[in-house]
Amino acid sequence: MKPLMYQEFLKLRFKKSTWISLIIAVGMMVLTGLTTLNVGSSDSKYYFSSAYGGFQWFIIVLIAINASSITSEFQFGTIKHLVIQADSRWRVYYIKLLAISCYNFIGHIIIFLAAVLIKLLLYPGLDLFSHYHYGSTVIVNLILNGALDFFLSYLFIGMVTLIACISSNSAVAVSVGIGVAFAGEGLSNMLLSSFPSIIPIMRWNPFNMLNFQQQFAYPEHIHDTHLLLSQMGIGIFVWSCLFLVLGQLLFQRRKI
Amino acid sequence: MEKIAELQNVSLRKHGGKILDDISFDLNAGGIWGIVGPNGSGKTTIMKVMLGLLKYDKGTVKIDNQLVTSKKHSVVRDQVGALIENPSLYPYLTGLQHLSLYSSDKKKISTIVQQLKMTNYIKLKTKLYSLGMKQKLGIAIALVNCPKLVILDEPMNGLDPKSARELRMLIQQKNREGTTFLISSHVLSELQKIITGIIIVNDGKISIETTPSELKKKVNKQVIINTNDNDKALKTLNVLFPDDGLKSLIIDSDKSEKLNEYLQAIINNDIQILSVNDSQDDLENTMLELMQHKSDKEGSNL
Ligand SMILES: Nc1ncnc2c1ncn2[C@@H]1O[C@H](COP(=O)(O)OP(=O)(O)O)[C@@H](O)[C@H]1O
Ligand SMILES: [Mg+2]
Repeated sequence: MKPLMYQEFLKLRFKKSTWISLIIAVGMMVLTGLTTLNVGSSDSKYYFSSAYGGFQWFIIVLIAINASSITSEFQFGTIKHLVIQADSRWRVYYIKLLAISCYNFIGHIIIFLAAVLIKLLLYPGLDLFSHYHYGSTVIVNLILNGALDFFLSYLFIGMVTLIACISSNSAVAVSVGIGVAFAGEGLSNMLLSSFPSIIPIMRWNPFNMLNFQQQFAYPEHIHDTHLLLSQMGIGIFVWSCLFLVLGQLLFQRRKI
Repeated sequence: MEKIAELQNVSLRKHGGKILDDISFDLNAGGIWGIVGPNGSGKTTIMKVMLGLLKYDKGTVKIDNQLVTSKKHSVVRDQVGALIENPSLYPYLTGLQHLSLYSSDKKKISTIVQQLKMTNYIKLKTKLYSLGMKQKLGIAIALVNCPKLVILDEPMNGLDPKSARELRMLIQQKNREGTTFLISSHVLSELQKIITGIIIVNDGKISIETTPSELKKKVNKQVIINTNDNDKALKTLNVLFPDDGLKSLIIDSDKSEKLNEYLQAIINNDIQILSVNDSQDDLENTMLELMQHKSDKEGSNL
């Protein structure tokens, strides 16, 4: 018998969608790179440091892989083998999350490398070490953005995992996850601007944390979020942990 | 004798209803145990409890003298192979990749592939498999690590008669090599040739625990004589053997030793015998009768 972690890697490796979706994400980055060829120097720095939209595309990929990696075990019935081998269910759950984390990390590295490659091929004029936000170079900005996105992605992993543990259908978890990814921050901003009286509490809602990167790029965003960047960091951490622990409890109770 | 599995007073309730009701049985090591009962009687549930996949409310479950609960079941991982309900497979992996997930021993993998005659398709993704091929792979996964106890839930499902026969032979072969089997089925006939013990479950309870030979003793064998003139034959027999009180040409087993005399008498009276048949009473019917009998008795106790 192979260790469970190894089994998870093997499954990810042999599942075609794992890699095809990543290739599509990189393809979308190339497309973005091509359509923004004629923008000015400041904008080209912005597109590069945000990886030509790659991090946003990768979040969608991650949501899909994350949801299906959990729901499919129940759908295929293979959860029985996992539980028998693991001796306790919470271990199955956290080993899965660990495998997804590794995929998440590798995905971010690939997006980073793809962004650099696109720059080298399409934007020879853009200097990687020219100055940009926070007194750092563009390349450092890209790395910072990637790191922040990696951190923020755990909010998505938490939410999607939780939904995947409730629903038997990965499509539900994927749609909710993507819906939140696209509309979550807008929803929160609308809520906060429409009901100013509940701001002290409502600013802590998990969707508001999705403004993290926006606020990093544009600090004046604080007027919408009513949270400091550091407060948002704490919020992301607490909400992610909460979702993941709740997911574990549901995962353990689920009928197999 | 060494016991590989012991269940003591195991009960399980779900949504107010009893799914398992005071189940107790021991499995001696080295046997092939059949667990038989109608659909919904609790066979799968008993197996899941034995594997630590389900929480039970009362009682104890032990495998190889170690307690099995839903929280702790390392003995299951180390000593048991199982196929529960449908084979659980990843459609995007090949049969071989499945086996290598669950076993790190290449030699064992190739042995089981050969024994189950799966060489032709073992390198295909399982989404291309037929039901029977999936079933075989599920069985291969249960057997690959040569566990002490193998639990197979309705393993003949989806197998054609030839594969079912091959599987029975494989089970017997592995059993000779020392593996204990617990096999469930809703039809006794597909197991009766190979099992050494039968546990009959009905409605979450064990109704009978016995051996096939015990069960066979209870089988009421009858012989049916068919002639070109059945009325005349019966009259003749009643004249010649008035004490036997025959009411038809269906001869009960308690008179079967007189069959020769009966047939002789019929021939001597110039009646032509067309056929002499065993009645269709087999283990299956006996089992159903016994179960019926038991529930009637329980009913009258109420
Ligand atoms: N999780 C569950 N919740 C409620 N009832 C269940 C559950 N699992 C099984 N049952 C019920 O328990 C009974 C036994 O089921 P099962 O063990 O699958 O029977 P078998 O395998 O003998 O066909 C059935 O009546 C079934 O409806
Ligand atoms: Mg069943």
